[in-house]
Amino acid sequence: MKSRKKERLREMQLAFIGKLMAGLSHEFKNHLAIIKELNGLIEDLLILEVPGQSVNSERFKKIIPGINERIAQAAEMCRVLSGFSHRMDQPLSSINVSDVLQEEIYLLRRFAQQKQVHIESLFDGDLPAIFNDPSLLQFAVFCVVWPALELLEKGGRVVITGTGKNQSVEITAILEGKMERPENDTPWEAMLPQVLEILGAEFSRRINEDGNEDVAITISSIENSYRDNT
Amino acid sequence: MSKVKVLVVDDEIEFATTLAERLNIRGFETTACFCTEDALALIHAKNIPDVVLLDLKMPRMDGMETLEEIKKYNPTIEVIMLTGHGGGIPLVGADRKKFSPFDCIMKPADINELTLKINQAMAKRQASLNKGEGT
Repeated sequence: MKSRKKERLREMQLAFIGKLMAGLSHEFKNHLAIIKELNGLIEDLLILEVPGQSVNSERFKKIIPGINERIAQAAEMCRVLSGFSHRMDQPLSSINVSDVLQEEIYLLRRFAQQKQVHIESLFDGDLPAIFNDPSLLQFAVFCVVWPALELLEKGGRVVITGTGKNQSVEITAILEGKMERPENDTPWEAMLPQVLEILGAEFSRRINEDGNEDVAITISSIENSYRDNT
Repeated sequence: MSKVKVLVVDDEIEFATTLAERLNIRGFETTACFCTEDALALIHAKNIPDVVLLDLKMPRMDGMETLEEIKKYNPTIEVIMLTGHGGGIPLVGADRKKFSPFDCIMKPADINELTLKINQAMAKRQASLNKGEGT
């Protein structure tokens, strides 16, 4: 691959990671803000407590679960973030496509909520393990899903499915809803052929009669030597 | 002396309601809205707040657009942006400068800092009202 193309791929991958990190850090701050306010409210109620009168324990019983819930959500975000970060440790490894993509969908959910687009996943339980690049697979799916999240109107829906086909996995992004497509591909979509070539993956796009789109990526295991040559 | 009217606008319901309760404890008259449409509807219905605490990132209409709408309707209403955005607020272009917020506070915010800013914003609004602006 020519060095400029490699450089461009690297730039876009960094932009992809940056977008997900920005959303995640924003969400994390929201959890901290709520914990801080709930904790502050307990403090306020304690300070306001009239000496000699019992503490309003019922009020506290309602506030404390809210704090615990937010801590649990923030901890879950850290767990997913850790998994996402470690995907890049090994460019090639044996991967569970469902785990790899569920992690990405979790990170994309916030953007979907902002756009009021529903995102969900549906993966077969018995997908074959694939020897390939997990981080690059996440990037490939991002190149499909991100433009859809940006272009779909409110009420749109993105469903990502994973189906086993022999020793391959077909990942389909079903894009439902009204979408104003620009004349040219977005920078993410323009990057996709190059990414799919490195993954050794196949691609198809079908526009259904109702206007909804099915975008499919079929990924299989690759040899180390294949990667060296792309 | 009448209470300072504060409107908290944040799609995080738990955050908005808890902050509103804490501000009420501190003597403000606080209302919480969980979307910008409700906040604007409230203002257009002549329930004019003195100060709006406005989350920058919200579904549909973001905080900056909402700020513009509020300021166009009544320029004396002071708006304090709340954000979890590490880079602050994107104040670019002439329009953005024209409709700038009173201040921008990072989440998680300190309640004492927030009450201080609300009082300062109220003083600015009062000065504008005394000059006959926004009437």
